[in-house]
Amino acid sequence: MATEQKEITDLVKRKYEHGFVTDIEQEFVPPGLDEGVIRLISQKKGEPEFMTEWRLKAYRHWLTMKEPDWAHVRINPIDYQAISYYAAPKSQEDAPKSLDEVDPKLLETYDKLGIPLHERARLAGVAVDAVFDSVSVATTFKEKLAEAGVIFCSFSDAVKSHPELVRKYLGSVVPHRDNFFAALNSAVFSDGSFVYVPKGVRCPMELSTYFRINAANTGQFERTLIVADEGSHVSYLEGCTAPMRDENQLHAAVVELVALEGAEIKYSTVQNWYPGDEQGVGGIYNFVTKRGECRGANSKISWTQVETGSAITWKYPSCVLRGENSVGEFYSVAVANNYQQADTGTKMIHIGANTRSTIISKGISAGHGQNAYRGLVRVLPTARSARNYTQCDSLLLGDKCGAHTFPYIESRERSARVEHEATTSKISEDQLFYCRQRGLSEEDAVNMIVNGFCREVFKELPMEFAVEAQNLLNVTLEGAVG
Amino acid sequence: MNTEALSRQFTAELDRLSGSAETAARRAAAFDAFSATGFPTRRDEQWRYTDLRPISTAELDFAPASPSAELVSRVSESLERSGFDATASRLVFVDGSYCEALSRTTDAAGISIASLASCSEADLPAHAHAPLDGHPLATLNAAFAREGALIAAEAGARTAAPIELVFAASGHSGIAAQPRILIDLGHGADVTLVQHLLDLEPARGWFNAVTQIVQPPGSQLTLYRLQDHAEHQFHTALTRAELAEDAKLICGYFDLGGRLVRNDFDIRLKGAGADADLYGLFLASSGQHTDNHIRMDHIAPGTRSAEAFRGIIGDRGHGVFNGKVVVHRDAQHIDARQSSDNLLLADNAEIDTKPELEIYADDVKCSHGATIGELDDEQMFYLRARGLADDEARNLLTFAFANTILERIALPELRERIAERVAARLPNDETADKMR
Repeated sequence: MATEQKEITDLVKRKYEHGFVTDIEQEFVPPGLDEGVIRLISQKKGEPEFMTEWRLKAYRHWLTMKEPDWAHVRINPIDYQAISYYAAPKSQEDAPKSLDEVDPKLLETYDKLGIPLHERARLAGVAVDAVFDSVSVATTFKEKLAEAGVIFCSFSDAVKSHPELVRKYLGSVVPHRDNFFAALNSAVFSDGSFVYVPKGVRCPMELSTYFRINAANTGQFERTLIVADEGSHVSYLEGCTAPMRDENQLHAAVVELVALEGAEIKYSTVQNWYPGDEQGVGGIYNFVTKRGECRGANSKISWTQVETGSAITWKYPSCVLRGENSVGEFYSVAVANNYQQADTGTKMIHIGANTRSTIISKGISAGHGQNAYRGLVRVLPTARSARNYTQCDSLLLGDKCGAHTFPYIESRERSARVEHEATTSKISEDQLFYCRQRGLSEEDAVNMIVNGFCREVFKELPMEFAVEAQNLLNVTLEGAVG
Repeated sequence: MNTEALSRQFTAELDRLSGSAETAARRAAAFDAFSATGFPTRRDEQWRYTDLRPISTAELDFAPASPSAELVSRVSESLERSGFDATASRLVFVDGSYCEALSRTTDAAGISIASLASCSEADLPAHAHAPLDGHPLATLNAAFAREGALIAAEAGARTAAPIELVFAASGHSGIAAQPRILIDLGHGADVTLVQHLLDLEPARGWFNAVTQIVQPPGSQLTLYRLQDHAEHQFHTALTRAELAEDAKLICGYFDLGGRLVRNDFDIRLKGAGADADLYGLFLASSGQHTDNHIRMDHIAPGTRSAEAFRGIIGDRGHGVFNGKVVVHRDAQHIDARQSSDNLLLADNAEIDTKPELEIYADDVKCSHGATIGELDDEQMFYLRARGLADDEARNLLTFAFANTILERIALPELRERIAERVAARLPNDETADKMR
């Protein structure tokens, strides 16, 4: 028992593995935000006039907005004028054409992260559009995707090469005035991914992007736009890690999904930003607006997320179910350990007839972590025979943490059926005793029980993510019980 | 009624209200506290689904006159007709004023029932002046309240038959009744109280009540309320209770009438073994709006709570349920359950439900469930196949849905009386007839 105790203590003390900083030259815009900075960002990226105007419109609206304070989190004041809104690796001028041309230090960074880019690209057949700080530096498998007609590129490229698509869909799901952080993102977004899957195409591979915050004090403002045209199918994977920092870093991303008639988008996230140390110092502020619109009949959008990182998570991947028979899904595991705070959930807006949605949310709280599920299910009078099922369960590990549930359920359609259930509990002594009796260490037993608790969500993840997610969960919760 | 008009009424009223300088100061402080915020709006999270403008814009009279002899006899007849037990201990209020002629305040075995207006300030329990922060309407009640009931039970006293409180409205429009009910129990006392709210004629008035309950160790309070207002009445009520060790509170609230109804519960479980059991049934149709808003604080370890509310929403009805369970730090071994089940019976009906949990302790069992739907097609088919007409089948199923809550009333006579009123007021589903 004593050695075990020591092992657990060692594990608890283990530092965040991905905490390191790559030392390469950066091109900065000085900290601060005004119209000049926005014009500069737009100009540096060589954007057409409509983009500059769009950014400025968002900025002007942002100035009129107040930071939201309704979430169940405590946020240290953010000084938006102290943030540098643009950072690009120096080598951007002559962007690399292949991996050989990529800055070896960058490749080293990916290695440390356990993303062998070339290997993964070859062996796993996954195209990686790796966003390093703000500008894409390496994109693979473009040709194979191009063959299928799928457009998968950085947002900056899309603005240049497919302005008509960007113009048509940008801001159509998350308008620039949607909320404080979305407005800020719209004004200053640096880069991100753009996906367009043409009619009837099943995307030949899973698309993934690894985001990584590197330079100190550069908030990341990613913008992702995925459009699945009629009858198409795409699965998109997103994963993040970030280096150790003492100052809080702001991450305000926007993700927009558009599914036209009969299309299906599956969006999976493993989020492991730096959560701060055991005392709650540092860590990423992850304030993300994610929303998908099932615009056409029989379309489907499925969100799966595993949220283990960030000091504060504020994120509600949502589905607007406009098309008849459209389907929205939300599967989530959120972990809050040490002093982490998570306020996450989803919104399902039922507009079309026979729309269906499923929400499965698993919250795990440990240490001094505060974990809140906040969700909205709204059934409008047009949503004849709509159906929603929601289940949100919380698991408490330790007596200093908190688990909260704030579901909003609004129905204005008689033929709709809405069901919601939630439970909160801890790992029982009986369960632990049973496992220990069969020779499992306490740590293994807890891991097993926790993984069982999250099973319904993990099984929705693409395979390589499922494994990673399980390991991540185990690492995140090390020492939480014992 | 804007704040200015309200303020004028308050100033005029303050002179007429009896009481010491201290009481007057307390009223003034309460009114100032209310004026600082005014009526809450839908921008306030606690009032997200309930719009108080029908009340805040109504012309209201906070100093209604005592009922006339003619009115008293009409109330008397009405009570008799409704089958009220003539021998029960009861207090009757008409248009917010105490009606001695219809009340019987027999002091039986350590239980005293008194009209608040007849109590001296020294008689009032300490909690009579507890602050009502966060409840603007209750704060307004604190400024204006002069009538109400004080129910006190000595240690170990039990009510043999339930005490009845009757609040009748005459049908005069614009009366703002602001009653206050104080319940002060001794150790191990066991009291059952039934509140009846009824309107002789439809009237557009405002009934804004505050019930304050303090339960010492081992006491038990069973509180039934039948709110049977006519269709125009505004009704808001705060029920606040503090429970010590092993105290048990049972509330059965039945809301059948009223245009705009809001019930706030603020329950604090402060002693180990304290147990609160809240259940309710509400009907909302023909433009009615009913909101049940509960905050349940588990402050002590080993406490238990249950909330079960059912709503039947008909034509243009709007039902709201907002239940919040808060488990405080170190309050271990908690058992808390919430359920909100709702029937939507019309196309233009709306239900909003928000069962919340806020938990800061780990060894707890907390759960909530919410359902919204219409009558089950298969059940309808089953009944139709056995020869029931469409509306008969629908009424039967709707009543069965309500009966789950009705069955919990422990007093058979009361259960029957309430069931009868529920059956009479079940929403008629005209839109459904057209559809089928």
